[in-house]
Amino acid sequence: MNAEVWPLFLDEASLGLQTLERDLSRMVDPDPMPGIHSAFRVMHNLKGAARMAGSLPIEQVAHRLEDLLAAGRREGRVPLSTVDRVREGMGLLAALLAWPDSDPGVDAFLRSFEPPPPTPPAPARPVSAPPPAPDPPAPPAPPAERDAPRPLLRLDPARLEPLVDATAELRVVTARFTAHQGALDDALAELERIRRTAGGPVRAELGRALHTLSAVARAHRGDTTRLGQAVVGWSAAIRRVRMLPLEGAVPRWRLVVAEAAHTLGKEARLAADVGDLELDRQILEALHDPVMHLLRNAVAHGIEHPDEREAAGKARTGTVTLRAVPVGAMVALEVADDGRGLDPVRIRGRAVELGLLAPAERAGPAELAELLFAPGFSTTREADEVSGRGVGLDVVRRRVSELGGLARVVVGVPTGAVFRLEVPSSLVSTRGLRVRSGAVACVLPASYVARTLRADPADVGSVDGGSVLSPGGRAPMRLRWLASVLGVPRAADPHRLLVVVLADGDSAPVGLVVDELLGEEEFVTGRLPWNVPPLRGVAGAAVSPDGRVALVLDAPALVAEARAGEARPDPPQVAGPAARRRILVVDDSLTSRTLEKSILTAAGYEVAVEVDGEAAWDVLTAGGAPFDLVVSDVQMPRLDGLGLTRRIRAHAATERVPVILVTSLESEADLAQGADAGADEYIVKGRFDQQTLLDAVARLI
Amino acid sequence: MIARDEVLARRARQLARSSGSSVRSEVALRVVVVEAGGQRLGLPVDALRQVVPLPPLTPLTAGSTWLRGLAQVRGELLGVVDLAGLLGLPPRGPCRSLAVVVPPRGPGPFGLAFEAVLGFREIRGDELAPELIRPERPIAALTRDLVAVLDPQRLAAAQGAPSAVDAP
Repeated sequence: MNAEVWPLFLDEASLGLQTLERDLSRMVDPDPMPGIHSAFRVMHNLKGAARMAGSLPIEQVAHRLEDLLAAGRREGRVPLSTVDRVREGMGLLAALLAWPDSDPGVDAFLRSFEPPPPTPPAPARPVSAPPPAPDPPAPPAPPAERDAPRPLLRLDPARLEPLVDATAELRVVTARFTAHQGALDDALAELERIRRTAGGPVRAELGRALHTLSAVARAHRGDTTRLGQAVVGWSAAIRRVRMLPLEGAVPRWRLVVAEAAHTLGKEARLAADVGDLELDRQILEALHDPVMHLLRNAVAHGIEHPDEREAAGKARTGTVTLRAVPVGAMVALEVADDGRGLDPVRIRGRAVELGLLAPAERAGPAELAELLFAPGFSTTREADEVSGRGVGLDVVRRRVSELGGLARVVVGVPTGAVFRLEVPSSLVSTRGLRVRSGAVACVLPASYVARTLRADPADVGSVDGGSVLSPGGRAPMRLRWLASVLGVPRAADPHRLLVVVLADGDSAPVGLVVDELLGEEEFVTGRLPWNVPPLRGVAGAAVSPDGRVALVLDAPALVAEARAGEARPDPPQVAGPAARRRILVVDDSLTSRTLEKSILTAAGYEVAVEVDGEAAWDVLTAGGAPFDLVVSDVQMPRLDGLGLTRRIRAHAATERVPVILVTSLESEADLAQGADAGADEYIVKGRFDQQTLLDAVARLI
Repeated sequence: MIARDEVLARRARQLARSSGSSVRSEVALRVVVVEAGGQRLGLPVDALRQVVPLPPLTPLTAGSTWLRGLAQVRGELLGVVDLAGLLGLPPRGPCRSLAVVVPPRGPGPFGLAFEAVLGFREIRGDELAPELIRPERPIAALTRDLVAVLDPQRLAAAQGAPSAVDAP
């Protein structure tokens, strides 16, 4: 096998088999020739490509199929038996592409061609039109114009990643433009107020300057709006580029069913009902293995052997149905079969064997169905050759959960078994609810947020080692603290708990206690960087419009974990105030220190204030709880900010405490004086805004 | 960690042996010199995407103590590492700058937080003192005036990168 070209060959061959599947169905058209010609070209190209890629088995199978199709071209028709042979060969090709070193029966297939294949009698349902009238056979003609495929641009999906990153950056920039516009409007309003109190030529000068500034602000506002609209359009266009129709994956899934049935000596077909639904290509690719496993499972565990089916009054050929429907911003895929269905006795027996159930323990249909997703769970050995090739149901669930989706068994179906996957339709942008616990912002996909509520801590009880909330008049729900998910100490419960109720469509919602709701936003889930270990309960991270990174919570996993009672014990409530960072604000201006205190307190810090440097020094050296940071004005009575900073640096107990100087003095000399005194950051009041202060604090502590 | 006195003693012996060639050697490395843990460290320019003021970090409780948290630079998510902590150096001050480092052989970019940028420097071959280097550490080279040049691939390996390979 030529390892260098194999990935390209794999890509080309997979597309070719998809085309071939469509061509086979076109061979039943009144004019089958376009389908026959196209299928012949596909097989001819595949044979040559296989030779280049160094796969002799694929080349040999493709060669035989090419011969069959060449005969069809000459005769102007392809009988049913030939279609079956082509399908059989396609099953082998699919198996060889997936497992190049396997032996799916190529020798036996090739030997079956050695005697000339018998010409079957005219089938009851001919797949070809009757031979043409006694005119000479038409020469091989190119397909009709209407059948010519649209030109496609083949693109390495990795090239889209910088565009998605750029989308996030553009959203951050747009949010900053909007924030600057707000600040500009506020400043203009303040200037207008000053103009009205001014007199004489100053009033006139200010008026002229304001007139010019207002025009600039209006233009800026218009540009900001247009930028926002352009970013929305860009984001939608990127989303569209990434979307692929589910229909495109059906031929490959159909082959999976055919190959599994062939291997097990069963008869099975795939009936797909996916409409015109589209999925993000990354999601579709990630779903490939899980769906393949479900399809193989359906054939291996569900569909009976033909004789058994006939004895039961069923058609000899079993049907595996794949159905996709939109569910809000999600897409639900259901894989169902008309086979023997789930055997609760065997499932229970296997669960007891594996220690998942105690022998006398009761378990209803839903609980038994959940056990199928336990690692290593299988009720049969004979199907391992097929269903054991892929991933287990536990991995199916984990991979779907990583996409922000869920996997479960639909219980109570009258015939066969139904497995349901729900996944987001797009990864580019999803709506979510941003929340905060401590200093960490997180995002919850909106599709899993049922509602939010305030609850009385007195309504929280303990059941089976976990917290349960019984809000008045409503059914009790399991409760988790977001702080415990993040592994941070839980702050003292306020008078009322803020709870986000999560639900996945099943009957038991779960409550998540947070510190603050930060609002709804569009977000793009990115993978955690390579040097960040997997975080329990976290599906990824997203860039918020303010430029900060929020953790994207794995809502389905949180819900499933809480329901199963597998959640880590919620941390005990800390006695008294939580271990928050302490900041000392020093300013002789009531307005300044009140503003700074409110900004820092809202951001979760514990803040004390003093009116001058001497009072601040007394507090710093009083021996009480230490401060993590000092924010100080420069010009103050008794002891100014520079003097306070020098004392802090000179004293062993305080020398490491970071100091931020906030002042209206902005000359180079002033900045140098601040640095010489030992200040870590210097914020000029003329350029002061809330975010600047918070960013400086975050950098230092 | 090599004691400072030993470093100076080795340097003195080396200078005493030096033939003092009058021909300047070629530029061997181009680095951005930064300060972390009170030491001067060189980051090869070829592996640097950009150096920016330290952005707001989303703290993480999981992972090593030197993993400061998550940040984004130009829309790209980065795991931010405290350079002094990663090298086992005691902290001397708050981190104010971030370098986005991209190791040439993977596994991907990461952020390095450090105290200050000291400047840009071209290091010539005759300025290097290879005798003091330990191959298992992220320091790939040391100049005679004790600027430690870091190997981005070894920095990645120190964070647990699976496929990092020491430079020959």
